[in-house]
Amino acid sequence: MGLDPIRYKPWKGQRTEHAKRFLVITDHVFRQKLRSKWLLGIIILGSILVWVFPILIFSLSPHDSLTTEMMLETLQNDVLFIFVLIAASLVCADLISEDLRGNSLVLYLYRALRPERYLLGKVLGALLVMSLFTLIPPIALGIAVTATQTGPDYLASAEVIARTVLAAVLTTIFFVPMGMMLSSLTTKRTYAAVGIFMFFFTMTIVAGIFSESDINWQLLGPGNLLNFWYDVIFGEPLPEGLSSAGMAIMTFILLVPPLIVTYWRILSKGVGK
Amino acid sequence: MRTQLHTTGLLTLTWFSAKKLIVHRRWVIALLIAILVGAVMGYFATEVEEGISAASDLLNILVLFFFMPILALIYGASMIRNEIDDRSITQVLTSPMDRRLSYLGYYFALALVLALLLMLVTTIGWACFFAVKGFDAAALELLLGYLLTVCIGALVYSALFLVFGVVLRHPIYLGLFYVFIWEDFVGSIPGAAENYTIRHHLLVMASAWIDYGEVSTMTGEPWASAMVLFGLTIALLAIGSWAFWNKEVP
Amino acid sequence: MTDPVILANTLSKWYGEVIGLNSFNLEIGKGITGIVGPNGSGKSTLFKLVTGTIRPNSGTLLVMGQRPWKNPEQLSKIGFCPDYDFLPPDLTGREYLKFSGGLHGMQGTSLETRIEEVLGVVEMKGAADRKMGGYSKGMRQRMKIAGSLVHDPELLLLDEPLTGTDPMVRREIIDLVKHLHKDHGHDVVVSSHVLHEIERMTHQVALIYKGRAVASGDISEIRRLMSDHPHDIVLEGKEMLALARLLLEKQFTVSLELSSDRRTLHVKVSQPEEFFDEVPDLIRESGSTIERMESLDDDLESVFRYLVRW
Repeated sequence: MGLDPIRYKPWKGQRTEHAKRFLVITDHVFRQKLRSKWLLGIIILGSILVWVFPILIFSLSPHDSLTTEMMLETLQNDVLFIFVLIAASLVCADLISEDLRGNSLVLYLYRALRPERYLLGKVLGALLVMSLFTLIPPIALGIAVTATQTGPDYLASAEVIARTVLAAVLTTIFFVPMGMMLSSLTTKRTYAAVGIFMFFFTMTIVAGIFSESDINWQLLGPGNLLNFWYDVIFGEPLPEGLSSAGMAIMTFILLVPPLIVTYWRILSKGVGK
Repeated sequence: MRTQLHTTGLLTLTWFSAKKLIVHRRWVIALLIAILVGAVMGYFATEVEEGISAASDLLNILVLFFFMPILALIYGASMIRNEIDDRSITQVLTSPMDRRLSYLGYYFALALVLALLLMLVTTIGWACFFAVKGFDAAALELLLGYLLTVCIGALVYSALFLVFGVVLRHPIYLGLFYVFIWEDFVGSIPGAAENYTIRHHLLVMASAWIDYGEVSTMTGEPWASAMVLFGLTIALLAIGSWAFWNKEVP
Repeated sequence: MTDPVILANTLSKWYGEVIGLNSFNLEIGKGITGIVGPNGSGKSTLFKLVTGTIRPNSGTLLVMGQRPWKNPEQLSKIGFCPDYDFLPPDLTGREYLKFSGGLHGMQGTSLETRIEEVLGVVEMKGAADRKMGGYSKGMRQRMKIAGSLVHDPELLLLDEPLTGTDPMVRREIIDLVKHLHKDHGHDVVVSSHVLHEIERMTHQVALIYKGRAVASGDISEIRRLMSDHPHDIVLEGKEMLALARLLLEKQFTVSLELSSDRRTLHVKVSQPEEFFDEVPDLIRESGSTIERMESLDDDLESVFRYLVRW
């Protein structure tokens, strides 16, 4: 017996969107994360606890304009740190670990998708999801308070909003590289999630233990580091004795080497397999 | 005949499960934790004047407050859940052992391994601190007090996270919520809320035999906390074994 | 008449909206019995119910006279070899058998002796001290069977033991299954989705389709069921019209359909053996040239389709 005629026609079209293939990954990550009940629950709960109350309180109470103190009070909140950490853990834990577990990393790279494009797609997807909690709500807070101000100085409020955007972008980016790295080191997303938590909390605890002897130990704590950057962004003075170089180095360590390690893991696990 | 079967089966399951926990790659995490605790305590000893109270507070923060529940979560929540997911639990489910007894086998293995790891972490941290400050009888008494506390903590936390693993598909998330939100956050609210955390009762109990640092200043009746922890452990084991007995594993 | 080893009566099991077994009725006696069905027909669900890892939603199931759910004592008489891979890669074969035996209350020298016996039966003595992570598929299958044998069960359940194995290993496992019953006295229930593989082990089969037992008994009786129904045969070539005229005169021809281009002939026959005996002469007589001839019913799916429509 022979095969039935296969109704296959080769595609003769032009591949014009080659350079944008990483956006397919970004889109996939975004849609997939939005289907997660846990993540949506955390974003909604966190938004209510962290953003909704300040929006209501600041908007409804009399105020001349949006001030840096209002934003700092909201941003330098421990509850925000906890929820951002939980969100980062839920977003990043399975980004690479699931592809490693199911061997689909090889399938991605088999399609002549370069590892850096794959990583870019994943990172952008993670950032897009994180921005739902860390970027959009603070901007909404700034706009809501500005829209309800009684004073005429909208320019000052706009300046605070601009600083808020900068702070929010930093918050969005801050936890993702380490989360991606830990996700790339294991095939089990639950271990990656615990690892993300463990890493950031361990740093916080060690910072807390040693900070009494030297204030620069506080830079080890990611929550403290973020708060110092908020101070810098909003023009507030840093604590005396705190090293700016130390701040820059710690921030670099949290952002750059983890991405390099992640890239190396993708190369070692996916290329040439 | 049934007694011999159950005894042998229980011992077999406990032994093989404990071995599986120890040789698994997770031992790297325990080793890293031990190194970190040792490094932090050793360095701290060079920076501070105080001796034994500082050591007690550090062990409290690093081990009791943080690494004990975390290690229990990592090992406990995934123990039975991983076996269900990768189906290696088939051998246990198709053996003639009562499943409630099998559950106890898993629990004994988990509690034993966890206690050993925590005792190792505690001892390394203690040794690094007192290597700088100097060993004496009080230091040894402190070590023994913390070793006893971590063993009791291992028993209780194992019972808690093991039941998560049986009942939930993704036990780690509830476990993280319990450790970081419930015990850390809710437990630090002054008032009655802290009574609903395992850590509080553990510390109150430990105040009976640890005479240094913040632990020794805990208020409350150690025997009452001991009863609470004992009752909680028994209740969690009962719930877990009942859930395992009734669980369908397709 | 001996009691059935497995007796299912209007047994049903569903997973949410997915039906595993649907009013399933089956009686399995002693000896080797094959359970045959396509993927998703309910074979594995049946085994899980028999071993008590899941419970029925309705109906009754008796295994050696007892209900299996929450009846761990009964599992000392059952050895189960599932279709999935669950062997711990870090253990050696010997350690795994020690674990398996220990769970059945075996220990000491009697366990060690038994392990040696079982390793001999499955021919794995040479590899017993290697980690199972390095075993081939055939070795893993043998070790799984060994694990189900170590406690000397009365009833062996083998769920698709031949899947994924090469022809040599398949033959070895088939021989092993026959040997286990004939020389060691175990009752064996073995499942597969390939009828001719089961045929090589036993003549007693039960056919499962979409959660129902559609037939059980001797294979030759089931084959005859197929024979009693018209078979669809397609012939393709030249001068098919002449062949069609000759076929119309035959008793075994039930119906004929000729395609518009006169090159393809669909014929339904009531006695396929007679058809195949006579067709070469008919082709010669008609002067036709056959380019393709195919029996559309010569597969398990067709058997099930017949039986389900019945």
